[in-house]
Amino acid sequence: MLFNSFPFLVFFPVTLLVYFILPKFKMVRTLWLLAASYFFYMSWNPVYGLLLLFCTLVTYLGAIMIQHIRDKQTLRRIIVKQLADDDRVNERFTAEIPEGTAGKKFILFMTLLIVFALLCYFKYANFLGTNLNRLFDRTGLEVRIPSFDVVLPVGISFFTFQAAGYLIDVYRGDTIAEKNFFRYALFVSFFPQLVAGPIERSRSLLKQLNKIHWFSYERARDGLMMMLWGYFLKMVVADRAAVFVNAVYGSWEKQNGAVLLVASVLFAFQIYGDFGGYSMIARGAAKIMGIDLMDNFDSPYFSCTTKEFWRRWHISLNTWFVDYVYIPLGGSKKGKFRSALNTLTVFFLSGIWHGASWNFVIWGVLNGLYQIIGDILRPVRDFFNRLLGIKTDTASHSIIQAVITFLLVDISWVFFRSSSVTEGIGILQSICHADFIKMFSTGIEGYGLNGPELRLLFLAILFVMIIDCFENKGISVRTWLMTQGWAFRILAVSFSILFIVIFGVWGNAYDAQSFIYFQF
Amino acid sequence: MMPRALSTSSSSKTEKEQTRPHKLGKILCFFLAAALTAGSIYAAARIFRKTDSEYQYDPFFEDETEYDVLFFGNSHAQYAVSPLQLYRDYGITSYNMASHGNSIAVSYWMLKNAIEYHKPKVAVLDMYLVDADTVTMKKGLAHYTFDRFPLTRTKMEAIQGIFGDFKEQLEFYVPFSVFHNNWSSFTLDSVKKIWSPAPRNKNKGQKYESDVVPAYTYPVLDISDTEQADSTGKEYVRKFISLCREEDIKPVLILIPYPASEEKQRWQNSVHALAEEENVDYIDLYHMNLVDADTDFYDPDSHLNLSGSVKVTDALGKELDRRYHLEDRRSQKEYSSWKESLKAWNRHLEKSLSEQTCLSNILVFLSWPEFTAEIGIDPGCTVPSYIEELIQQSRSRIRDYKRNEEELGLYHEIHLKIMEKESGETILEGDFADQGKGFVLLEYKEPA
Repeated sequence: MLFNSFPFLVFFPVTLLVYFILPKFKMVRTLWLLAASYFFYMSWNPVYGLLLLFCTLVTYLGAIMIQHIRDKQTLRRIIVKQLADDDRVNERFTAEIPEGTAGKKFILFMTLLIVFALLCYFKYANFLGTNLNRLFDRTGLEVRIPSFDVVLPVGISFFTFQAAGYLIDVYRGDTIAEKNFFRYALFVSFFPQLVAGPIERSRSLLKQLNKIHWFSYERARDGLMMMLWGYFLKMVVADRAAVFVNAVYGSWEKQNGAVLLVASVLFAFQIYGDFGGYSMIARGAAKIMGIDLMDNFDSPYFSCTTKEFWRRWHISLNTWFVDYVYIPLGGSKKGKFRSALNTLTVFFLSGIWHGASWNFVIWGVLNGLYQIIGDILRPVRDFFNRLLGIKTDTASHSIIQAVITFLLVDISWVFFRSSSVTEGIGILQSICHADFIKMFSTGIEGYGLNGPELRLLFLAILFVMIIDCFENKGISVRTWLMTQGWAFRILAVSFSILFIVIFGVWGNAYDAQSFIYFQF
Repeated sequence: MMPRALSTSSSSKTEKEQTRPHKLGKILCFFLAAALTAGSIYAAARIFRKTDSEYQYDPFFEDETEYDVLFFGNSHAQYAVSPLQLYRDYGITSYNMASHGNSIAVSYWMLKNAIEYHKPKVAVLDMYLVDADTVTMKKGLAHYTFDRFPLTRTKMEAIQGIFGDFKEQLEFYVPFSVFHNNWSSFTLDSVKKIWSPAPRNKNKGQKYESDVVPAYTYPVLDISDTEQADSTGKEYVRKFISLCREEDIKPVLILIPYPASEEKQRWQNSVHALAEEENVDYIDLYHMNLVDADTDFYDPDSHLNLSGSVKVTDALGKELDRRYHLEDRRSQKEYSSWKESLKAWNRHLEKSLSEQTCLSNILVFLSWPEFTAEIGIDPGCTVPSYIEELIQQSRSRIRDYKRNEEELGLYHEIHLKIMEKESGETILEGDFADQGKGFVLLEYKEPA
């Protein structure tokens, strides 16, 4: 059930209505939302529900056991402290009380192993098999790994990461294991963010799920505005850009490099509109229900460095990697080389998380390298800035930096969009030999979009950038809108809906695009 | 003046509290926004809609009189059967429900929908697609067929019966889901579509063309040469018959003449056996040798033009009149609106005729008895055989025919004057010469 589908337009209001009508008992509402979330997920494939349930069950039990050991440890510490204060007990006796750390680690390890084994089986089994078979071929070994006939369950990377994050939080003592199975199951399966994030933290979401939420007109209004913005990003920007990008990338060998360049730039906005749109709809839907999900995008194309870009793009995943991979590996505290290696590891994992294919690995590693090289070159850059007297706090400097950052990120998007590394390299080579004169003489119509549609797309992108520019300056257009008079607000909401309904890509004339991030 | 108590309590509130909307205000705001949104989406749906289905079926829904006969089929039947000719010549009231690309299954569903609004005495189904092993049709054409029908349970059943996939069905429940893409062809004039009704079909569902294109010819097989196999088409013919019987409607099968390949002829010949088996009439107009391949088609492989349609409708009218003894509605007071419709149709044909420039097209209009003509052919003029044939076919309507009697002009030309029969008013007059693409009206420049 896509957010931009008719079934969702029925499902969401019904879920919402029942949710607020139900008696104000936490359990009743939890059960209702849980049922709705499983229904939402199983609408793709009912069997997926079992997988989600299994993942939930394993991590629930794992966390309970870890918590049990933690509690025992705490109790031990209290007892030991009390006994230590007691002169009548000798030290040897207190030292003999078991620590229990090894057991906790073992349970964490085993539970994470099961969760990630699930992810690996569904997502990486064939990738590994294919690559190993290639290796065997080269080394002359006559071993063949058969391919598995598995379909990647929607959003598996998201809910496994959310559950794994929770488990690690419980292990670290950052959160207490949730005893109520249904509430925990809802935490893993909460439908707005189940299939494409944001990947929520237990500290924030579990706490909110444990509260009774009353209907709030203001929250509903705000949530609806967020959803509308999400639909605009998805249906007007992303899906229209997708028509052009798919047409060009679908036959990239025959295309002029200049057209490939336009398609690659449009892809940057397609993926932003697609994923940013999804996150916004998810946050809006949750907000109406009284739950705040974390912001996943923060005007990313206004970033002045790639490092900053990754602080503003897919925030929930990147902070997940920082919290659970980068920092445990030592972060930046163990020297420059180790810091660079940790960065590269995180981006390699991020790449492979996005897809079991080498082009995603290249995409990830490239972004890691941007950051490492950026760190290395920073003193050089600063030196030249001082030498040439370049003012770094001016708007023009920021614009140049943002454009360079966008170009670097867009080069990596070429690999992200390509179906293979060879294709990505081929497209970049073609772009290097772009014939702009030919493109201007022939135009770019005929790639699935006619003149008015292309003009609409470029205007919509400009509009998105203007709104992001305001957000970047700390001015929330949504908040501003909500402070206006009721007549203006009504007109704005009605006009927004009408605009999306008319100019959005939906219905059978186009094959409505799925959200790109579902596949991850 | 504000009451003192209220004034006092208000002044004690902070400014923020004062500007905060009341609960009732919030509800009002919500409903206002919802109404405005719904209204503007409705207006957009009106602006961007395609009006073909309304053009075709608006008169059907608006007609308060009953129909004796409803015709079903695809474009063959739609171009072939003229309801107003049936009324004029036989007093039969009918509506041509046929539409482009309708499979027999679609015709069955069309009947089921149509009888919810008008229940005829006779339902006639064309057998052109009896061989087709499909229930479905092109989605674009299905909009022509179904969009005008209100969304009822029967319509939903029809859509589900024709299109298996829910995603495909959806665009028939919400046609705006497709038509909103027409925004790129929006002009200020489109706004008028919000309030103005779509243009209407003036001949009770029939479409017509006046072009003349020689049709392919195939050897005509004996009716005993048949295809024995069954087909989805036949299955739905049976369903059509059975539905008619359930509703107390007389089912009739017909075959509109067209350039039928031998394979198609075998299938259509097999309908004789099917009709016998089901105990229904099969009016095989194909084997009646009614039409001329050189003059009666507007495309080479399927559709009749106005001239062909006049011939086929005439034969069909005779058969319907002879077999089912339908009432003559011409003198019935409650059917007086049909006279107006016929007049309007004649005016429409007149207007259309006056805009023609191609001689063959104009001669096709002469098949309609409301027109009469005077023709003069210059002695040196070589007249193509199909023009000769068209002239001969309408000979009875040409009141003045001069040929090779005297020099009529400077060029090798045909002079033609078309008049309204009753009033004698000239509709079109001019000289026609062969300009490479057939005989066309010559334009004379006014002397300076």
